[in-house]
Amino acid sequence: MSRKTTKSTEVIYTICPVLVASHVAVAKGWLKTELAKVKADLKYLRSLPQEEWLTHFTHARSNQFRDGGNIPSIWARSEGRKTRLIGLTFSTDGGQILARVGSGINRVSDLKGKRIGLFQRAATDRVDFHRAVVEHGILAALELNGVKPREVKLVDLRLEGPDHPTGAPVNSPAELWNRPAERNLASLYTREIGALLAGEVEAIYSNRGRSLTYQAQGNVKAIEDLGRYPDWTLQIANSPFTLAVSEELASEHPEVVVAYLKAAIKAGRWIKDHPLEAAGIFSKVLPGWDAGVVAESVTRFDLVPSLSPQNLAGINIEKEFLLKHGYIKNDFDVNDWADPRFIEEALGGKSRVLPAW
Amino acid sequence: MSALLETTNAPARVAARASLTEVYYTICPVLNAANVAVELGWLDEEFKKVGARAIYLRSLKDNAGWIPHYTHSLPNLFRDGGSIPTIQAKADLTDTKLIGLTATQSGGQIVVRTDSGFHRVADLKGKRFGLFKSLNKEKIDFARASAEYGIIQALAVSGLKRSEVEIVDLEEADEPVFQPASKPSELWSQNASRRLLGGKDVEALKERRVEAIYSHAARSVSLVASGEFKVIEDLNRYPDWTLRVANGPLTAAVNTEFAEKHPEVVVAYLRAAIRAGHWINAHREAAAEIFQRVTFSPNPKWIARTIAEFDFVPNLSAQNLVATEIEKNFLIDHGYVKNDFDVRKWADASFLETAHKDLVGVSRT
Repeated sequence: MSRKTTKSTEVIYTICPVLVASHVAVAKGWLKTELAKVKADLKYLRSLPQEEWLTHFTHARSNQFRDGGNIPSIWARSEGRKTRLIGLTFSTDGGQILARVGSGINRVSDLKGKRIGLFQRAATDRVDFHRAVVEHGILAALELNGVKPREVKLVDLRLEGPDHPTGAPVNSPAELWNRPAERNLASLYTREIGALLAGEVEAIYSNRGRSLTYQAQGNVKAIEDLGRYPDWTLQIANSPFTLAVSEELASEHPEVVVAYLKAAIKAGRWIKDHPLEAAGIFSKVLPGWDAGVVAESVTRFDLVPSLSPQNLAGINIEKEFLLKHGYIKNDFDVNDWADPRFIEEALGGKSRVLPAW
Repeated sequence: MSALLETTNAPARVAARASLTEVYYTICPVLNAANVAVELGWLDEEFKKVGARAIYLRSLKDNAGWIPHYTHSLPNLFRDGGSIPTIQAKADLTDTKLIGLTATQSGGQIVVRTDSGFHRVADLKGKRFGLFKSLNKEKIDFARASAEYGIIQALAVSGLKRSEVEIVDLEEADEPVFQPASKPSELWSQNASRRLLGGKDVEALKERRVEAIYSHAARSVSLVASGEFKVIEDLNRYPDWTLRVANGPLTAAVNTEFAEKHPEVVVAYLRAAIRAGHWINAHREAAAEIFQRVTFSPNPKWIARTIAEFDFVPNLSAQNLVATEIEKNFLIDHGYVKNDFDVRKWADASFLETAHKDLVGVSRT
């Protein structure tokens, strides 16, 4: 047993609004229960004062779990933050290209000489992950349709104001993403759909969940869907989602890391058997997502985190893209970042490589 | 059919064991009702009613059943599975009747290396496709024929001519890998790795001797899971059903002479398959567990998704007959089969009709 049995370990967690089992582990109370078993005290990052919230992206805390979009995780690691990659979830497809109804634009090849919106945040306190997702998706769509980037005009859609949640502390992701401001997508994505509707650009990129919500209004349409291609590397879009933990926490309290993964694995398996209930939980943390996409996604994807060769190859492709396009400065080895000992232990693997505590 | 009525009468059924009709059967590791009928014991049950006894072809000593599985070279054999060997046997080797078809095959996929930068088949202009080639002259090279058909279709839907890519032959000795077994599930369970990852074509792709290969969907799952490969084309995603003529529709065939002498046994075989087909249609998840034992599939969940829309009751529908004709014409045009024949004359629907009549009012479980 650990020497620290008398003192509890404070642990901070944060989760992006994406399809990962951590959300269900939180909603069902399993994360709290599993961590309590190893004397860890769980707190949601955004229950702290707002000046602490930036660490959702920077992973700057020494006692932090972060599950969600891989771009901030990769960026934080490349900036030298000491983290371990402990799980991955590949639960997206690549996204869509949208144009206005009535524009006469029916295919990406019709966009030659036209303007495509490229999100850009004004603040520089962290990686512009959304721009990276959009750029990746647009470049893929152009290539698939035989259009060279120089044959279109990529127009920066700059957002000056805050592009992430603000406001009073909340106790859980569901509470955060159900505040009116977040539900209305006031934070991040309105810049792009606004620009498309206003005629500032002829096309934008959107993930499928939001795209179907936009299309339901009747004034925009998808002209390309990366999800319709069998090539899985085209589906890399801030995904596979990364579950990462601060290295300090991982080395001092491996039992806490294993406990987190046990809760996430339990949640992933539960989702498989309870897709309707799971869709209900996810609908509360995926603001702006079409309900049908949420329901379909929970049955289509495996939400049990893993460090499978395919998922790791996906992270490597994302990292290479970020390097090539200047979103990260420093290269690193994804396989060195990934630490499979914790998930093997959580899965009850025979190779008990962690010290017995 | 009088023979059927006589032999299904109880007194006739308990006739001396010496009069049992011994019948061989062989089934490919594919998604068809016969595989499930065997596993549920329904083939034995239906055969017993007509005084017949089923012997699994691949139970013969010294793998004597291996080549006949492809050539249909026993006089009293039911062969159920991939259509390519069945068509070749009919055309060039043995007189058989086609008694049932099942369209549960899938069109196949094109696989490349993850790091290749290729996203579509159109990107493969001027590149090398690996194509399996068997060195075994005793049997038809059905794996090559399936792959060649798939590659040609994939090129066509991508606007490429065959002359615009290079086809590289990947030779393999092609010898039996399984020891004789008493039934299909026992045969296929011998190889733990289930050949899911193997193949000369995968080796060649890995070693960068070719840029693309053809793969059936079940094999692709583990190729993709390795992280080293990706599927860039899937013929199943097109509305055109003729793209999915890939060693299928699956064929059930039996020797003509035997069928004429023992129509009651042929009908009994089909009763078992029809019952199993209805059962699969109604219990797809349970069926997936059974298919896991008799096919090379990644897992039951994958099978359940794959079979969700298929009809497993064997038929001789107009569409399936045309599909079989497309396969036959391809095999002739590409030198896999020598003699042409009329698929419609090959098909004999009388056995299916009788089997369906027999089953009217019979509980489907």
